[in-house]
Parts: sequence; C-alpha cells; structure tokens
Amino acid sequence: MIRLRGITKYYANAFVKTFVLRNIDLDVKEGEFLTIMGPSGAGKSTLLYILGMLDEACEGEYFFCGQAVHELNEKKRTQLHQQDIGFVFQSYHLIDELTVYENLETPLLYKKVKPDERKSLVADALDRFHIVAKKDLFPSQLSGGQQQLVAVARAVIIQPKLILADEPTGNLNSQQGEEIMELFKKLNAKGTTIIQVTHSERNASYSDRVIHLLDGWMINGEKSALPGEHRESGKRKKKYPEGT
Amino acid sequence: MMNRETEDLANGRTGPRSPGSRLASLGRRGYWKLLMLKNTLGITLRSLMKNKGIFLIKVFGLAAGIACSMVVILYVVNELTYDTYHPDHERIFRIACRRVHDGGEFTIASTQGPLAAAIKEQIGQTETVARMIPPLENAKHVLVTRGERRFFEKRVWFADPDIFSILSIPFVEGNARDALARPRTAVISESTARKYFAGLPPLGRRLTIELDYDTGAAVTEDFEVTGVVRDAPANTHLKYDMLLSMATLLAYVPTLNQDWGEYHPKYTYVKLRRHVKPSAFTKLLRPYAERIRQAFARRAGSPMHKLDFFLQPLASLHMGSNLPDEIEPAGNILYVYIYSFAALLILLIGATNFVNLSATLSTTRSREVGIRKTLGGSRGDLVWQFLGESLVITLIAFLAAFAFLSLLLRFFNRMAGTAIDLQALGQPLVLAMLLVLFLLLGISAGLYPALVLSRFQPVSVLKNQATPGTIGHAVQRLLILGQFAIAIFLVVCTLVVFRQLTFIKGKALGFDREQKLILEIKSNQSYFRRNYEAIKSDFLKAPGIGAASVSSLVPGETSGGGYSLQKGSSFSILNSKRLKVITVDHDFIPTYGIRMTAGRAFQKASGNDEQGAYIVNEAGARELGLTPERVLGTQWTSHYHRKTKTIVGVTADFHFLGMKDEAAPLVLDIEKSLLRVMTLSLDARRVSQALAAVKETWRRHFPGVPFEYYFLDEAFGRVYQYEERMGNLLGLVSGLGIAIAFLGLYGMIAFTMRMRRKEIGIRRVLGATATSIALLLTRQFVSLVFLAGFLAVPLAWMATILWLQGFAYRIQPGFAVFAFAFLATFAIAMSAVLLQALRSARDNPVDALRSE
Repeated sequence: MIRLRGITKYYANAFVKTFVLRNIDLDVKEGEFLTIMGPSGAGKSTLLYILGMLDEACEGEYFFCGQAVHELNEKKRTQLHQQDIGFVFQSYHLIDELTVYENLETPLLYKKVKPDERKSLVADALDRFHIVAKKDLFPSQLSGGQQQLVAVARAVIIQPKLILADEPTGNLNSQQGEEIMELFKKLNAKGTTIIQVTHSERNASYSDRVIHLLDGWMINGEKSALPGEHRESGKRKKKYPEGT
Repeated sequence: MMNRETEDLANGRTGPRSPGSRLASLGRRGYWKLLMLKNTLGITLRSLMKNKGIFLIKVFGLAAGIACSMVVILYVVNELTYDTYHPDHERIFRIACRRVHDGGEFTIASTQGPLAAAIKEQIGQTETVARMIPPLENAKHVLVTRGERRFFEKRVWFADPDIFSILSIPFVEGNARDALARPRTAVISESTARKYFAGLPPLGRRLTIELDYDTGAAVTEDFEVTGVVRDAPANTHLKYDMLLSMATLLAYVPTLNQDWGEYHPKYTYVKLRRHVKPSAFTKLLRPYAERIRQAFARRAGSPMHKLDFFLQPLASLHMGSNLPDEIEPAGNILYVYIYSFAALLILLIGATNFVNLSATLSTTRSREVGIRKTLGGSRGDLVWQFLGESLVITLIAFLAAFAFLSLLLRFFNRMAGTAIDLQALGQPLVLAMLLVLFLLLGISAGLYPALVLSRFQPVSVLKNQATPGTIGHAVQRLLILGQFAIAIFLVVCTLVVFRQLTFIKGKALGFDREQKLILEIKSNQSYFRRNYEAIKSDFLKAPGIGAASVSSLVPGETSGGGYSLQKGSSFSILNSKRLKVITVDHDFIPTYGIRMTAGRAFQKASGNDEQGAYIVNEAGARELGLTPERVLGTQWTSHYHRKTKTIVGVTADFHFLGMKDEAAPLVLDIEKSLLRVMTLSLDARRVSQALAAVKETWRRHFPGVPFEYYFLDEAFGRVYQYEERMGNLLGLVSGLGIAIAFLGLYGMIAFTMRMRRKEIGIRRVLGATATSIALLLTRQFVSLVFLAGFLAVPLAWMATILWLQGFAYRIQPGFAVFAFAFLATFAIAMSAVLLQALRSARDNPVDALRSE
C-alpha cells in the first residue's frame, strides 16, 4: 500500500542544512498496524506528515496505492488524502468553535458527501463511539479522553484506508489511553491500516510491527539495535552529524 | 448553532442528484460552497464573539465608512439624476435667451409670454409647449389662508395645463386634463393639502390666496382646489407646492400672450417631436428673436445688438445651467467631488482597519486552518471560507450602517442644504451602486486575510512552530501608514477651514450687526411703502427699540439689483457704470453704524436728499473713476428712475455679504418703490418686552399677516453657509477617521501584546523595566506615524492653498497648523500604543510564562 524510497527531508538556510529524515525506505502493507518509535526530534512526526501528504519530502519517492505521490500537485494530493487518510493528534485538534456534530461533519463536507449520507454517517459515528449525548457540546466542554474519542471518530468517519496517529494517547491518562488503543485495534481488525507514532512501549505492543528512528535514520525493525551498528542501512556515505 | 431544519429543507430541494451536464456541475459546485459557508458561518460568528472588542471595532469602522458612502451615493445620485425621471426627458428642453447690448451680454433662463403660443401655432415641431410663471411681484411670499391656517408659500406657479404632458407631475386626485382650465383654480401638492386641509378631502374646497400682479396693489381671491399631485421629488429643478391656472394670470395681465417686452420672468418648456433636432428647432425661433430684439430696442431707447434663443436639455439644467434667474441655485460639481472624496477617505480608513485587524486576528485562526487542511480542505476551500466570512461581516456592517443611515442623512441634509430622503434608496441605480460597494468591499477587505490565512502550512501550525504573526507585516505597516496619513490630511484641512472661517468672521465688516431685529414686509408692500415713516415711528415707540430703518436689502441678502449710472443729467446706457444699489431711508447709515470717509450722511434737515442725493461707498467711487473727495458733488442719472442726483457722501467699504469677496461698488439711494425690510435696533436687556410690543405694533399695521422676524447676527451666518457646511463635514469626517484609525490601532496593538505576552514576560524576568518595555513596543509605531506626517502634510498644504484661493481675505496656513495637526494625531496614536504597552508591562510576568 505504501512504498517509500530514499525519503529525505531537511531544512536549509544559507549556511546550514538541518536533516530531519535521511534516506528512508519503508513498505507498509494494507491492513498493517505499524508503530514508529524514537526519541524526541528523531523525525517521527515529520515522517508521519509526509505519509499523510501534509508535508513534502525533499528527495525520494512515495507511492500510495500505486500512485506516485511525489509527482502529484497539491490539488490531487488533497483529493487523495481527503478520500483515504484520517488523522489523530496528541492534542486532539478539534475545532474549538464547532460542536461535536459539526466537527464530525467537516471532513464529509470537504469530501462532498451527499447530505443524506452525511447525516447518516455522522449519526452512525456518534452512535458507534457512544457520544450521541455530546453531539451539541463544544470541545472545551469535554474531557481529554472524550475529545480524543471525537477526534478518532472524526478520523474514521470518512472510512479511510489509512489512519495516521501522532502520539494519540500522549495527553490522556492510562485508562483513557487504553480505550483509544483498543479502538485502534478494532479498526485494524476490520481492515484499516494504522500507523502510529508513540513513545510508549505499551502502545507499541498493540501493533504488528515497530520501526525506530534516530536522528532521521531508520533502524530496521529490531528493537534492540543500536544506531551505530546500522549506519550501513543508509545508502548515503555522508557521516553524521552532517551540516554544510 | 446550526439550524438543522433549514438544512433539511435545503437538502430536499437542491441535492445534487443528476450529474452530467456542465450546468449541473456548476450548480453543484455553488451548492457545496453554500454548504461549506453554512459550516463556516457558525465558526465565523463564534470566533467573532471570542474577540468581541476587535469585532466591534472592525464592524464600526466599516459601518461608518459604509454609512458615509451611502449618504454620498444618495447625494451624488440625487445630484446627477436631476429631472431624469420625466418620461422622454431627452426631448424636453427649457428655452433660454441671450442678449447683447451696450451694457454687456446677458443670458437668462426666462423668455417672453407670447413665445409659447407662437411655437404652438406657427412653428410646430413640438409635441407640447407650456409656460411656468412665478407670481409676478411676490413669488417668494404668497400669503395663503384657510380659516386660521395662514402661511407664506414660496413655491407657487402659474402653469399652462400642458405642463402636465411635459413634466411628470402625477395626480392623486383630480385629473391633468381639466384641473387648470378655469380661472382661479389651483392644483396643490399632497403635503400642502395636509397643511391646509388636515385630512379633509381638498377637492372642491377653497384657499384664499394673495397675489401681486404688479397692478399697484395685491389682490386677494379665493381659488378652488381642482387637483392634488404628488410632492415634487428632491431631484427636480422645478419644485412646486401650488400650481395656479394661467387663466387667472391672463385676467390681470391681458397682454401676456401678445406683449414681447413684458419683463417678468416666464419659463418656457418644450417637448420636441421625435426626430426633431434641437439645432433645427432653434433655427426656427430666429424670426421671433428678431421681433423681440426690435421690441426691446424700441422700449429701451438704445440698440440691442443681438438676441437669440437656445435650448437647454432638461436633465442638464441642475448641473449645467447657472443663469441669474435660475429657479433654484445650480448644483455645484465641486461639492459632489469634495463629498465623494471625503466619503472615499472614510471608506478607505474603515476598510483598512478591517483588513488589518483580520490579518492580525489570523494568528488565532492558524490552528483551525491547519486542522481543516488535514481534514481535506484545499487552499481554495479556505480562501472561499475567509472571503465568505468577510462578506458576512461586511453584510453585518451594512446592516449597522442602515441602522444609523437615517440619522446621518438628516444631519447631512441640514449640512448640505439638501432634501434627500431614504426613499431614494429604492432607485435601481442606488441599489446597483450599493451592491457593487458591498461586493467590492467584502471581497477586497477579505482577500488579503484570506490569502494570508490559507497559506498556513498545517505541519508547522500543528506542531506549534508557527509564528504566523510575522506574515504580511510589511503590508500591515503600509496600511497603518495609509490610515494615519489620511487622518493627518483630514485634520489639517479641517483646521485650515475653521481657522479661515474664524478669520473672516472676526474681520471688521464695516457695519454693526448686533441686536438687530429684521422684519420683512411680504404682504401689503404698497401700504408699507406709502406710510413707512409713520409705521417706523410707531415701532420706535415700543420699549427697548433704539433705532429703526427701512431699506431694500439687509446684510446677508444677495440681490442682483443695481443702478446703471450715467454722469450728468441725462441717461444713456452707453457710457453708464453699473453699481449695486441699496435703497434706504435717512436713518440707514446711523442705524447700521456705517462710517463716512468723505462728505455727509443723508439728512432730513437738508430737506431735499430724497430727490437730490446719492451716497456711494469707496469701491463705488472707484468704480465711477474718482477718488472719494473728487466724487463729492458730481451729478449722476440712474436708469431706474431717470432722476439726476448729486453724490453728497462716501462711506467706508462695508461687507454686506461677508468677507469672502471684496466690498462691491455700491450706491445708496432714498427711493420708496423698492423698500421691503425694516431693521429695528434692540436694547439687549429688554428683548422679550420689545418683541411683544413689536408684535403688537405689527398686528396694528399688518392685520392678518403672520408675524415673522429674525435676528440679523443669526441670519448673517448664512453668508458663510457653504464654507461652514464644508467645515462641518470635514470636521465630522476627520473626527470619524481619527476615531476609526485610533480604535484600529488600539485593537491591533492589544492583540499584538497578547501574542507577545511571553516575550514581555521573559524580558521582565530578565530585568526590563515597564518603561523600557513600553518604549520597545512603541518604537515601531512612532516612525510609522512620523512617515505618515511627511506624506500627508505636503498634500494637505496643496489642497488648502487651492481652497483658500477662493477668498479675497485669507489666512496663510503656517507651520503651526501643520505641526498641531501632526502632533494631535501623533498624540492620539501614541495614547493607543502606550495604554496597551503600560498595561502589558505591568502584568505579572510569571502569569504570562506559566500560561505557556
């Protein structure tokens, strides 16, 4: 489903190139539950945003369901992620000025779903996530767990092929976190591909596969591996730290 | 909250069911935009409520600008659409007349009585021709009575019945065909009907009307009301309250249809047949012009070189014709420009505010933008959303503007001397202009924020890395710069106008205008002229009356009246000199405290001044070509009464029309036939007592004539009315402009401070004092306002110099005016900044840091 080849991302100013991602190769199969782990600043979120087509890599190729994303223009990319990708964030990112109902409705509006269908989808989501009673409340009137529940509901309402979650439980207590992870598990079981970024081993244990990032390098699969030993996996010869 | 029911309805009707045709897809796109707008409308209103203060400033600024432009649109449309509402107005003309004789060239708007009949019977080419003739000698004060209701009417006409098929004067009661067929019939306007009949059906009832046909005495007769017509709209040059039948006039002036030399003004209107060229028609009038030329020459005893008629298109009269006998003062395109410009400036300031504050507020919307983009919103969607918001706010501002439009319009009408009402809003042209204004404003004000906002990258925003406050800083500064430049420009103009007004008002006029009570004799003038000495001495008996004088004119009144004076004892127009005339009595010069520079004032003791003496002013002496000393004793004959009189005195120049112009050359003459006003000098301590006694005396001499009076110093202010109107308007506009600019700056800074709270907190923790922080925050604005001053001052200087050219006596707008305007604006701007800066500098820095 996803195929990354040589994805590299850096921020450049006149004097320094600061690398965030270096030469990432990654394949994700449909229906997979993948966890990206790594310390702060390792490039996890950036990789997630690139997968979500919100950010562009500086170099490399990205195929999503066979389409060459790196060759698409912004409009096409927007269409693609509108159809197939849902996001969940650590700080929920609900729109404060909209009610729960309206928050759920917004992606459907952008996707131009017909009104009848849209209403039934929203009603369905409210039902499935047990938040019918909250539909007219504003995000500020909900607890963190409830907000994240709405956020997940909003992500899945478009029935995406892929859900991208950035520290989805980071702001929640452990019980709330667990509920959200169980939810992901269920969704995954029904065939949704999920990629999450997390610090938590416990969350990672829900997934099929874990990859590690360190300073922009990807360390293939093995949890115990040290970064130094995997220097070879990068095809570039340049030595770390770089910056010219 | 969103209204679900409305939504259901919308879905049921317009759901995108049938894809395929291009049209359908277009419709669908519009439909989605509409749905999206509905989704964002809620957010718009809620986020507005979150920043109420800034929202109010935005709307207030915009609403003020819109209201001002609405008024000006109404005004401009009114000015430019004069008389275009008459059907086929392109074929309707007024006939005007140009004459050239030794005295010079004269063009007048009126023609001769027989012309209309001649056109109708001998020339043809017209569908209709009709005359409008004002009451001959009392056009501006026709006394109309019904029982206890007595008023002087000013807009009375003798009308040919055919006028109804030329001009659009719709009948409410009665009909155009026979309303003015008989003598002593009257057609009145709806408001006149209310005034005299108060709800009674007016048709068939009678009004008593006093008219002066120049037959020696006024005639009072009953007229039957045979029709009621709509009130004349504000945009016609020919306004009417009463139309009297021409047959009435014909009964008293039987030669009306034959006498080509009768001189009272008569206005002739023609409606040409289709395809008749005005120039061709004018050619046909030539033989008649020739006949009149000969008639005039015979009557005047001197040759008239040329006389010709020309056609004035009806719709061009208001703006394009400014003849001496114009029915109402011509429109002045200068004021159309000035008012439009002023409204434009206010609109600019308001819109600038809107753009600025929206762009500033965008910092709070960045997260929303990020989220919407991750949810699949494209940049286009977001541009559309923010444009939609801007249109919504503009709409709110329009509604707010409508709310105080009527108030503003009343104020404007008083200031500009217009009579525009809200009904004019319904005109298609006005509606179209408002729609254009709405779209222009909504889109242009929203475009910049929309582009800024939609540019935010979701990644940076959502990772809290964004400092979107820096986006577009340059543009924002430019906008503030523009706002303050406009504000300073306006303040300078206002100051100069007011200083100039104070200057000319303070200058010695050469006569005394304090405590003067003016009585105008509008009815029974012949009685007054015969007995004025006795009447005057009766008024002098009243307590508190110090002096009394009668004259043809009092200060503040304009008059075209003049004498052509010929040196020696016979008159010929050939070498005569034209001087303005005031006919007076013996007491005029002392009553008004006018100073003599040579010779003497009129004296009763000399016995013969009434028959043998003129007095001129210094300008008059100059006009006659002599020094004040040399002019004394010279003899002159006037064209008016052909009497030869000796100049016995020269007064200092006095300015009866204020200090706008130099004193006009003037001759004072004791001549009964033109007397019409009485001046009474009051004792300031006994005004009410004196007034009661004066009223009593008035009743005795003029029974049945309404007692109307005014105080000279109040009325004299009118001579500067155009300048004062403009001053007031500028004052209003600049006040409003500064208020909006101040509020805008205040709001923007308040917001910037909120955004920089953390930075300020850190600086405080590092030891910065409140003052140093205030300085830090004000520095950038100081340079902006300074730059605005440098831009605005030269422009303002040029504009005011141009305006001052129109005055004979004028101030030199010096450094002080510009410095003051600049400093005042500067102080106001700085107070906005400092207030905020001090407040945020006083905050406890710990709070600021903890809130992160």
